[in-house]
Formats: sequence, C-alpha cells, structure tokens
Amino acid sequence: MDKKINGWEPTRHDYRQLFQKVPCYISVQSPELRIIQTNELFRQDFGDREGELCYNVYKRKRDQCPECPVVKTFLDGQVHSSEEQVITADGMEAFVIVYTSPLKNEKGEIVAVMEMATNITPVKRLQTELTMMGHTVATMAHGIKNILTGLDGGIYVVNSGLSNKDDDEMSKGWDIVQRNVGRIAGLVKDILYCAKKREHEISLIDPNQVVKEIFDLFHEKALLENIELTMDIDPSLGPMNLNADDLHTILSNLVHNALEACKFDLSRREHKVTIKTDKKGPIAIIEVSDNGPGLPEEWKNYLFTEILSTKERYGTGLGLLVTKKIVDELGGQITFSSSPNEGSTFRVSFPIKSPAPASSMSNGYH
Amino acid sequence: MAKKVLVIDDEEDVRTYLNSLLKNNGYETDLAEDGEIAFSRVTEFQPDLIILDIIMPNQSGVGFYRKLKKSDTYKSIPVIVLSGVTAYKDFFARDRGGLPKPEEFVEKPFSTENLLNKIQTFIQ
Repeated sequence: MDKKINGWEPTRHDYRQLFQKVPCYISVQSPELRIIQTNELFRQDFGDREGELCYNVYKRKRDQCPECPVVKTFLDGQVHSSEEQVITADGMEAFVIVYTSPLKNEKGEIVAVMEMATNITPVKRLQTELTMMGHTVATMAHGIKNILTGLDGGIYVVNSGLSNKDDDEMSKGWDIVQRNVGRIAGLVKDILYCAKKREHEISLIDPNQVVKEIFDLFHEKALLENIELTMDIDPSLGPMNLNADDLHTILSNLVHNALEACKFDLSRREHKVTIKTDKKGPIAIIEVSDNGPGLPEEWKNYLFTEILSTKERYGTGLGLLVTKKIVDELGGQITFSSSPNEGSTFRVSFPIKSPAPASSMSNGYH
Repeated sequence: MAKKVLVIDDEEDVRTYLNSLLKNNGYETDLAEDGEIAFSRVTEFQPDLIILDIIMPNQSGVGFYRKLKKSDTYKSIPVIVLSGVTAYKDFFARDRGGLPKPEEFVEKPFSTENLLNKIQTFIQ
C-alpha cells in the first residue's frame, strides 16, 4: 500500500505522535498485566504509572478484574471490548468503553496487548439525566396523587362536618384542605428546581463555613425537637472551588431529612444528627448522619431515583432528587449507608481542584 | 355490633379522612401512625379488617404485613393495602417470601365508593 497520502508520508515520529495524541486513554500491557507504555491523555488523567498493575491503576483494586478483556485478548488474539468504571488520579469515577487489541512480534506471538479506553462519562451523564427526568415525572405524579388524596380527604371531612353539624370535624377538614393547598406550592417549587438546568457559578468558598451556617440555621429547630445537632469540622479542609448556594441547598436538604427521620422515630429517646467534614487526599467529604430509624430495606434501591419521603405531608419526596441533581451538576458524588434502628449517613464528595487566586475568594452567596 | 377497622397510615390527614369515612358508614375505627404501633393496636383492638399504608417511618407497611401474616392468631385478618406507590402492587405480587397476597390493593387517591365496596366484601 502506498503510504504517501496527499504528500504526507508518515514517519516513525508521526506514528509516535498519533499514539501520544489520540483522544482516548491508551495503555500497552504485559502478560502480567503491568502497564508498559501509556499515551498523553492517559498520563494526564491517571498519572505516570508505567510498571504498575493495570487493575491497580484503573480501578485501585488489588485483584484482577473478572472478565478482563486484556486477558481474553492474550488468550485468543482477538479484539475484545467492555464497558468499565475507572477512577482517575483525582479520585473521580469515569465510565469508559474499552477495546483491546493484540500486539505481536515478528514470529506472530502476542507479546503485549493494547488497551484503548474512551471516556464516555458525559454520555453516561446524559443517560442518567434522561432517566432522572423520567423518574422526576413519576415522582411528581406520586406527589400529586398524595396531595389529591389529602384534598379529597379534606373535602370529605368538611362535608361530613356540615352534615353532622359538627364544627370540630368541619374545622379539621378545612385544616386538611389548607395544608394540601400549601403542599401544591411546595411541589411546584421542587418541580421547577428539577426542571431547570442551572448554571453553577463556581468560586472559591470555605465549605466549613457553609457547614457552620447550616448548623446555625438548624440548631434551634433541632433543640425544639429534642435532637442534638453537632458539627465535626476538619480544619484541614480549606477553601475550594464550589458554589456556596448549592452546597447550602444540598446540606440543608440532608440535615432537614435527618431531623425528620429522628423526629418520627419513637424507638429511641436521645437523637443526634452530626454534620462532619473531612479531607481525604484530593477529595472533600461532607457527611450528614443521624441515629434515626434507618431506611426501610425496600427503599434502598429506589433512593435518589424515585419518590420516597417518610412524611409526605411535609415533603414532596423530591428533596433527594433535587439534592442528587445539584451534586451531579457540580461534578460530585452522593452515597449513603443505613442500618435499621441505627440510622443513616449521607455522604457528599467533591474533588478539590486547584484553587483560584485568593483574591477571588467568596464568602457570600450568589 | 359494629365491625372494627384499623387504619394504619403515617399521614394524619389520611387517618382523619378514613376515620370520618368509616364512622359515617357504621364502622368502629382505631388509628395507628406506623407499623410498630400498629401491631400493639391489633392485639388490643382486635380489628375485623386492616387498611394499611406502605411507606411509613419505623416499621414500614411491608414489615408490619410480614409480622401480621406470620402470626397464627392474626393472619386471617383481611388487609387492604392503600398506597400511592403503584410499584408496591408488583412488590406484593412477587416477593412475599412465602406469605399470602394481601386481600386487596387500592391506589391513592381512591374513590370512597370503591373502598367501601371492597371493605364490605370482606366484612359484612
């Protein structure tokens, strides 16, 4: 084949450039699954990791991955592909599509395998957003159904009070009607929040300061319910690039939920909600934990995706959806753990990116 | 003598609604706001029928249902599951760990006539 195309005859240097500049992660791996060579994008996102085991680098795992496409290519010499979740050097999870291809010596023996991984995280995010949209619609429908039941109930009780000439019953019914009209306002507000794609203005903020503000906001309220609200601040967590308004919304949703969980837990006398900050390498972690009843087992699969509020009369069930949406949009992650009768912990993490110049430090909200 | 219905729902509005509805239709009622309290109400009140919500704090409706249907004394009490979460209809249809299906499933918001008819089929 004529290698000369439009006057361009690729040299060894050009091929090397192609390998280095191709916009996907490339690593060449030995039969022991050690990384022999990497390209620029790989080094940019995973660091200079040549000589290390691939599963250690890509996934921070101690053992080889099951169904490893590199191993398959070593065994049969064929191209294999798979979809994987990897962790970059700054601790963020990324979704990649992996293709593996054999590299042979002059005798035709496979001496190494080239792994090419394309980052499809933005596509995945889009997919998640679409799924979220579907769930949001389902959630709204659920919220509306609950409000309708409340309104039906209120109207029935008012009418029953009128027929029975019972002022007390009539007044109870009217309270129900009023409360549920109020819930419509709350639902509309949450729907608008979910529906709108927001631009998050990022500036240098002190997350510990936001936590203190949340503490001040909820401290009195918690005391009234006989719940101890405490803070456990990690002073090493310094200023970072985030949006103070958003962090405020996230934490107030989580603290509100934790207090609600405790408030209606009749199984324990002393309740405690803790807001904790922590710095683990390049990751900022903020946890809200409570010693409430924990989440019902059957909820765990639905959390962040659907309905779910223990107290529909106070919430629309959209709070966690809104929280997750904001965390996602800020490039963070939200996870939870929960045990029956021991309580729940919601953990929000954000990568600490290199801070902007100190002059742009913002204390306020936008 | 009036037939007895126990209403288990964490929403006070729904409890007040069902209380009025059932009393106006000749039933004696008792109310509970979660699954945990509800079981002690079952033993004291000895209901002829239970109307049960699913998503509740402390013990959920599913937990209560399991406990009720495992009890030799109370397993024969008919249960009408009243929930806004349609997914639970499938949950009860599939994964009951050997327990019987609830007698009825009514979705919120409900028609009072439909609910009263269903109650009547179980307790005359």
